[in-house]
Amino acid sequence: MRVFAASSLTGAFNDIAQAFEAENPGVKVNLDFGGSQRMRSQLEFGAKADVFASADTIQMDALVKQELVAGLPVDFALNSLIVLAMRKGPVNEIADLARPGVKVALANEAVPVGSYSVQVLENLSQDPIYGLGSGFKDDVLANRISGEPNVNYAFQKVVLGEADAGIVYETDTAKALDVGVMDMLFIPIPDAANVSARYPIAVLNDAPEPELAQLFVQFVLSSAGQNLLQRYGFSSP
Amino acid sequence: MATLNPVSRITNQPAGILGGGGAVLYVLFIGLPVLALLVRAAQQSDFLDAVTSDAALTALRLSLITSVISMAVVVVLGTPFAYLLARSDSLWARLLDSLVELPLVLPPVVAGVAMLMAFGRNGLIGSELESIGLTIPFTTTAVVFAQIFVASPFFIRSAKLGFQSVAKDYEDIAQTLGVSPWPTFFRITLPLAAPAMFSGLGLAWARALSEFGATMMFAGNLTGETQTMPLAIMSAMETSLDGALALSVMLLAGSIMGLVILGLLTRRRWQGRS
Repeated sequence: MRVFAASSLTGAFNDIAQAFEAENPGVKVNLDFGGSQRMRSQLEFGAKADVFASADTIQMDALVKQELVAGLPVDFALNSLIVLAMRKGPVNEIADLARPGVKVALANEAVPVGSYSVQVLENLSQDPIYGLGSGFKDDVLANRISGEPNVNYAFQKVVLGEADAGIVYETDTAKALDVGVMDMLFIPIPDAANVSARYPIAVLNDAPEPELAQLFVQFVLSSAGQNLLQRYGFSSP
Repeated sequence: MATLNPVSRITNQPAGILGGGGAVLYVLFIGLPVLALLVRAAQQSDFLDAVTSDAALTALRLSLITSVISMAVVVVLGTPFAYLLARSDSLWARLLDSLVELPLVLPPVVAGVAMLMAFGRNGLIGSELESIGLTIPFTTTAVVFAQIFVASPFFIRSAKLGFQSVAKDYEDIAQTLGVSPWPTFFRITLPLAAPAMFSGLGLAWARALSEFGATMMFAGNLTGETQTMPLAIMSAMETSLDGALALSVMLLAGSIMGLVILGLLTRRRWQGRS
């Protein structure tokens, strides 16, 4: 069976697939990760998969509207954003993102994490309580060095030192610790300005393996699946 | 006076200075990134593990299988086509000739979008294809389609030049001597055009193996089904630099091997001819 999943689910879904395979001998789960928007457009153009797990409801709703989804999607995880920076770099607090010459890695706005990032920047600019000024968002966007096709690329740009900082998912902190990245700084975003990214999952209409697909979705929603997701920093909806 | 050659002295000076400088810069420009790739790959301890990992081997197998199929199609269909282009100077042939060049100047990603518009689920003939049970986008077939689209001009162009270099007189003479047209083609024209065809095939193969943009658009990035080596490198770059380095070195080694084989093959053929 084949599962299309958002890039931010890479670690968690690899573990989930392994556990699912262990529970269902003889089943092989093919996982394909990418920006949710790219997975969506591939499905629209005829790519065959059994399950789709998106990082936002926009991509899933688009598929629902085109009747490509069987039944209703279910939210299975929550995530939020964080600023990832080089420890010895020029970014030590959120305000530094707007400083001239700072290189910021962001995902493209068509990608869930990219549009979430812009939303967070907007929230931070709007509320004077953060003292960042109303031009904060535009200043940060002016420092953007790329529009990455998914969150993993934004993450890697910072890890490779090509960017001073980037906006990624909170769950990427677990990933960073996992790969042993020691020189990284995680700067939290105030809760009130942060987003609550909802991840929906659904079986696809022309799934080659509909029964297995249903089983897989149930497994993700089960306590075993939720535990694995929590290990990567996701919370349950 | 034979030792003093004023013409070559005059032309050699700028060639020596400018050309030499250019050569050094060029070697650095191409050589440094290649060297950096090798140095970084050599520094990693688990290089062999990464090269022999499941993901790498799956992508390698898919790349080899699809490119062999693409090249078989290109040679079987492209050879008679190239022969036609070489022998005909009608308006149609000249129009076709320009069409063959189009994929060379068209960005591959545009080729991918175009093929999606044609064969995709909502494409021009995609729904008809689907109704007879043929799904092309995001399958291994789509990978082959993409490779044929971008790589075929390299073979057809080269084969056409090869056929053109075989004087029509040879064929005429053979036929006046009583050899019928088919044997003439297979025993005279084809062998004489073969070196050009081989070098065209080599270039086309390299292009097919490195195909990325059209494949990404039209075939997606499904492990084991459409994820060829270049796409696997892109995906590996998301999670581990080591994996991407290992795959890159594998492709680099393949390219160098291809160059060497191509050089040996064409040189021997051409030398045999003169």
